[in-house]
Amino acid sequence: MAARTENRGAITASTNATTITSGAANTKGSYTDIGSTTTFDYEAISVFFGNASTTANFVFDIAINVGGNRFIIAEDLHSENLKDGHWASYDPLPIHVPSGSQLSARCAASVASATIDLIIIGHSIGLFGAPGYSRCRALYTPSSSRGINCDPGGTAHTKTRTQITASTPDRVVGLMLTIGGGGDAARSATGWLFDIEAGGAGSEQVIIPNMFAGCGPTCDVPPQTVFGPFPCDIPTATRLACNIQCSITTAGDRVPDICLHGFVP
Amino acid sequence: MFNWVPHTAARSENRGAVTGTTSGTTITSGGAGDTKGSYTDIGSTTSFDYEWLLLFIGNGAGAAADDYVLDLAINVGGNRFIIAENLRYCNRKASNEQWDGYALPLHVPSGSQLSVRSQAAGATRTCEVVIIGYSSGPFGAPGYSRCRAFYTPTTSRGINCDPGAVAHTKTRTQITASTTDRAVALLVYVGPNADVAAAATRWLFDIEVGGAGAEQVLLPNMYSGRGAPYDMPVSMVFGPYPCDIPSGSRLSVNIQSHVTTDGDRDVDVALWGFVP
Repeated sequence: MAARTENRGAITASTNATTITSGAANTKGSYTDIGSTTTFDYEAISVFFGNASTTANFVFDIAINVGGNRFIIAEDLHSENLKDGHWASYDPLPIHVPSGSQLSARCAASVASATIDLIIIGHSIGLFGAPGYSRCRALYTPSSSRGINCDPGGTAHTKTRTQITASTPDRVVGLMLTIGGGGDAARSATGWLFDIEAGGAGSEQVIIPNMFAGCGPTCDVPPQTVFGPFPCDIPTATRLACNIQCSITTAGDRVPDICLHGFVP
Repeated sequence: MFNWVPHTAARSENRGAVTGTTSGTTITSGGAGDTKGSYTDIGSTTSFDYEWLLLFIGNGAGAAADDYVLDLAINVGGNRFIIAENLRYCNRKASNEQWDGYALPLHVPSGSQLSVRSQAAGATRTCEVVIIGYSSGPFGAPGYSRCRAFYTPTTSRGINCDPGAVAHTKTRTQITASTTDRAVALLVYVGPNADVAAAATRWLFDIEVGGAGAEQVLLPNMYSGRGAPYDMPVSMVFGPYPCDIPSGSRLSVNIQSHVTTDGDRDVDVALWGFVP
């Protein structure tokens, strides 16, 4: 299980990371290289990000460039930075990166030309000594550079279901979830229990039962936002949904946004 | 060698969720500060073998702002055994603010009663716990036997790591002089070290193994920070990461900050290792 590691993107002279800049609002900007090319095969990567230039929601792609061909290996990862001071990480993501690859990233934000800083640590093996998967697909379509708003409805402690995707684009064997503030950054103390489900409307099967999250009136958005990846085996063309209940009924405050990602073998 | 499961689909079940109040199971710390309270059962016994579990800690309504550490135990046939010790939970800013989630690649036999106990810097503090168990881990892998704390909690938090008064320059702090077991995965928690009125702060930090003066970097330049109005890191759980650390190893953190304000520049760090 021993692993080599190397960092790409750290700027030690300023205790910072590599800055990537979004395009027009909710539009991806250009790719920025993250450090120099990789010196060994990665089987997992840990992605750390924060220090945004403004309060905004971000989605970003991680890509590799080998021999002139750029390929997205993790798409539409989400940073909930609608309040200041939000650092988070996807760590580790079980993804294979060939030696000699140039890592790069690009982002979209809910505010034009916003910046966020990003670091990647590469691991020569994954957890359990496992090899990485080929890529991490977004199983949702970003809306205003965040996930799908999931409204628990006006009755406390009662679940309401929202579709996250009508049809997954690939078979996935690891599922990852990111929760955000749903565009609301001034809320009362809020707690959620929510299921992630697979299956057609009316015949959903629970994959992840009663995940527990919340936030308070200072942070105002969920503090820890990334959960997983979770073991699963979800066929291509599967419908995914989130069935969520909330401790409060205030419109807006009760609504988080949910992103789902799947790892393709 | 592991007995790998040749598929990745997993059963899952929840223990501890209280759907009637959209909350978790309440755990109360000891009657004195920094003293473990009694165990509280988390739901009913497990209905299948777990090889992976997710443990959520939040504070629901009414819990006080404080630092906590928690033990997760199983009880099979009357014998209680701690499978994850001194998991850190920092709800230091204010009540009802912090929710943390730990991904724990641990084996839990079918028929086990999961239970949790906690301590906090103050007496009789409460937090809430929910656990989701999986029948296989990612990659279809089996779980490890237990998660050992590679630090000794101080005032119910991690080890204070001070980057020192020179910005952008690393300072090393020992987290443990000697690990108790061989570990094949490493878990990290970075908290605010009791300072929740800080200027915006960024850190780069290495996790290292080896004797003083001969440290080797395991995890290079991890990145975290904090800013107003929350004033503490929002996402404090990192990993688990692949590693192979022999028993008896010294672990340390080598950290730099972009601010030099005493207190604001500090973090507290807790480390855990998964025992095969």
